Amino acid sequence: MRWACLFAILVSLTFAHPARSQDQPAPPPESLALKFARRDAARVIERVQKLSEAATQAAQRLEAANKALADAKQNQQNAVKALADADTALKAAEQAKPVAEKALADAQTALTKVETEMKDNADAIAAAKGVVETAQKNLDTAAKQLTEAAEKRKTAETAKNETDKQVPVAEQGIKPATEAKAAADKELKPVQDQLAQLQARVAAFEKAPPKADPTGLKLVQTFTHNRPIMSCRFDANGDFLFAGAQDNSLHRWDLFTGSPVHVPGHKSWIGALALAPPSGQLLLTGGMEGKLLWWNPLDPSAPQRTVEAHKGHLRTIAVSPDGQLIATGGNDLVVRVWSAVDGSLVKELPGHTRHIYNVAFHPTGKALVSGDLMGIIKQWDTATWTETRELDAKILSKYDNTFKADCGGIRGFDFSPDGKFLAAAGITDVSNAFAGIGVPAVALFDWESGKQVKLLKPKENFQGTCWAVKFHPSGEFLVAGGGGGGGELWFWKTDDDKSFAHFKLPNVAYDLAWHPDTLRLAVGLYDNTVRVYDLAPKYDVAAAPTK
Amino acid sequence: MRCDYACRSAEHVSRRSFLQGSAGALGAIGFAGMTQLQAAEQLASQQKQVVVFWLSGGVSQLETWDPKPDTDTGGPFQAIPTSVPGVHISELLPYTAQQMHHLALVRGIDTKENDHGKGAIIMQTGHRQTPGFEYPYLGSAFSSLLTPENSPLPGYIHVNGGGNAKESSFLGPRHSPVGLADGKPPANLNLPEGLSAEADKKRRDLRAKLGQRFVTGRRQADTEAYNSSYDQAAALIARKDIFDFSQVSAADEERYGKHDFGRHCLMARKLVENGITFTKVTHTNYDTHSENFNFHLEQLGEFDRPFAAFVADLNDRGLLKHTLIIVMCEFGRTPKINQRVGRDHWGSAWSIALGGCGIKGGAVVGKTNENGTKVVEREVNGGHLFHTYYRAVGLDPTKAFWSNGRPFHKADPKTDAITEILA
Repeated sequence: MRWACLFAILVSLTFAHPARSQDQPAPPPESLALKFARRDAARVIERVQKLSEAATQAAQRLEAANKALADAKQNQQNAVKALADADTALKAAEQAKPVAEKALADAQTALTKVETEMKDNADAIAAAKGVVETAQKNLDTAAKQLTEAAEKRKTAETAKNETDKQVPVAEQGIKPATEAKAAADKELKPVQDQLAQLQARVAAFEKAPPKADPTGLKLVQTFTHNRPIMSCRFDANGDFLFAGAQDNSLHRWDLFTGSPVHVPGHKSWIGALALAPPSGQLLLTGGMEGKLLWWNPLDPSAPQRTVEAHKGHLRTIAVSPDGQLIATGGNDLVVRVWSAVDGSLVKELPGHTRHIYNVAFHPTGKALVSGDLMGIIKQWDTATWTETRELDAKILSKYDNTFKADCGGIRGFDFSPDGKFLAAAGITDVSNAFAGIGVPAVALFDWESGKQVKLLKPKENFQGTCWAVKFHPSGEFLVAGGGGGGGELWFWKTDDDKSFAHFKLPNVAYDLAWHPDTLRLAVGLYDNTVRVYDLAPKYDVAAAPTK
Repeated sequence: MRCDYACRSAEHVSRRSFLQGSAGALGAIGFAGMTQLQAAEQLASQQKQVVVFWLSGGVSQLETWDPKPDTDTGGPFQAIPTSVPGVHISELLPYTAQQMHHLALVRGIDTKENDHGKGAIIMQTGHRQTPGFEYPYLGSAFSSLLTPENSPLPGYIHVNGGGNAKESSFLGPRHSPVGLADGKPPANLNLPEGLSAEADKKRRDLRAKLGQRFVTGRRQADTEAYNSSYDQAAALIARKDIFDFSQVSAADEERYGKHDFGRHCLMARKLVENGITFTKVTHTNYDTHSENFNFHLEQLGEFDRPFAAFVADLNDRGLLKHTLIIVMCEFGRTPKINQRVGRDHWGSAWSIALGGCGIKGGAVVGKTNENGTKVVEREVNGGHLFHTYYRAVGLDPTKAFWSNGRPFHKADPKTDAITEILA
């Protein structure tokens, strides 16, 4: 009852809106950050309630166990007393019988004497006979009482033995009940703390809509695997984090409970992950054996569909904004377009002469771009499926004369939300191809003209590759991740080629993904972790303890 | 170039014999170093030959001969079956897989050396780097031991590499590699414009006479070194036809590929056909500290098809049975994948492939553990390999070279041949 009242209060606090008069202007649309903060708080409230109920039940079970033990001990005490009383009564009965036997014997002796000495005195003889009868009756009574006393003692002894067994049984129930209560309390406490933090976050966001602040980036969750993480995505509801690693399985973590799910499905590493907008009800993975798999993100127990999409590595997947088409690319030099509905092949787009590393749909859905090892970006019209333009990102590719090989390529791709810019990430100024010595960079293209307008680089000296780039959903900045000997995140505005913020990571970053709340960023790293960072000013989200 | 061998040494005697033999054989024509095609063909049919494919930088054994798919070290590539039942190699070598019945694998190599230079010395001399002394490289050693006495041809040619005089050590410049840098024929094979063949002969005769006069009363080893250079150059010029790689059929170009390594393999085939004792073909580069998988895709994509075509062609032409083929490098690559998605130097558990003359096709010797971090069966090193090479071509590795009155082991006497792969 107590917890139900608390739950009601918390819900009302979370979802209450202040009363408005007719003269006040309509409030601005609720920001995504506030929406998810309220949703997260409500979700956690539910968890708090469930865990509180569980804790209460555990406490009740412990109380019952303690009572059972107390009762068992009391019963034992009572049984001990009853046995003692029965022993006393038996002893008394045992003592009374020989007395009665002696009295009878005396009475019989007296009768015999009277019958001998007073054989003419009928009264005396009758009186003596009466004494004998009385003595006999007393003896019978004493014998009966002795039998009854013995039976009672036996019953009392049996009862005591029973209570002796019950006490240890009751004692055995104490430890697990105690541990269960401690576990329930332990599970409840951090979730209560989490709720308190979320509520503070909601309150802050209601006062002022938050803006993602890269300078305040904080680590809030770490999910650990046993292989380096190569790709990561949040689902559309912000409930789960998906990842591909240097193994053959799809990995999913519940953001609230931390519970992991690992599902095999590919024959090689998962090189690409995508969730289909707008509902986010379809998850796609691409493996380096060339297969494209369909999954239900809510229940990824097994793939729903398998398509043999490419010969050799399938390196990249993109889904059209309307969720109807899937584009893939890989080592067989052909971009393929598939129906998201039935998996049928819609179109093949040959033209690249080297491995295709990335594809992306323009936010309008009217164009598809594909980028390869040589830094060539092809633009395809999605109505006619013809190649309409080629963008030059060769600054991200190099032929190394010493090692006789091409290196670099388009390692990350992203359009700005308004479609005005295309960012292509990779490595430039390579001095040693085979050691990966170069400068991480993002080539920024003006979409309308197709020209590169900026080459974004870290402000400070850094050697390595830029493996992934993502515009913030607001379009106000973009973030890239990568590394060489260590890892970093870099943040740029589109009007400055030097990063305005950077963040040292524990290791090299291979992929990035924005949470739908626009404040959290997932980073997949070489050190076998996928980490969630929060860019909300002041108030961290507090997701569940990680497992 | 200076000569490292002493007068009246076996190499000195051999050198004189070479000159006399050449003069005798070539007397009818008058050019030192010239022989006839028929003689070359005869040589080719009788002598043992060797071709080494040197995968410079250290190819990954996990992406070639000893894949470990679905492990923490295996990477994204799978293993594929080969023409030998039960033997699998990396999916990056689909054409080579079809030639595995001609090839053997040694999977248990542990040289304990992760340095490029020192690893190369072990693999190409059979010995660790020795202070103050240089063992001859395999090419020079086999050039000296397998090249017929009177052959005017260079015994050792390095396709896509330089001619490093140090490789021959005490064996002398005759057995130094002739480098075909970038796979191009040696420079100056053609006479300069305006110089007729007759005029060139007169020049040579004059030089020889002057050289003979100079030799009198002087240390012969040095002068013979100079003579050797001129004689070898003359030999090359006289047989420049073997360096004419311009005539390539469309079918061969299709099978070998239009890239450099394809051409280099075709060169190697022609050199074998023309009786060159030892050919080394360098393919570069495999030192994949970064992006190991992408680079091996590219490099092995270039290597696989022409190498397989080369093996098949040698077999079809009846040349494989007397040609030893070795595919090797200075070391393997680390099972652990680093932060740059690369693999680093690894001399501890790696592989080579070899085949042809004296080798049991389809044999596999040596084994590493589940994720390739350790040799667990039949561990071998450079010494074992050299014993094996020598025995494969019918030579006794226990006999020593002699230089300045000192013996130098052809192969490390503490080791012996890997008999499991000898035919």
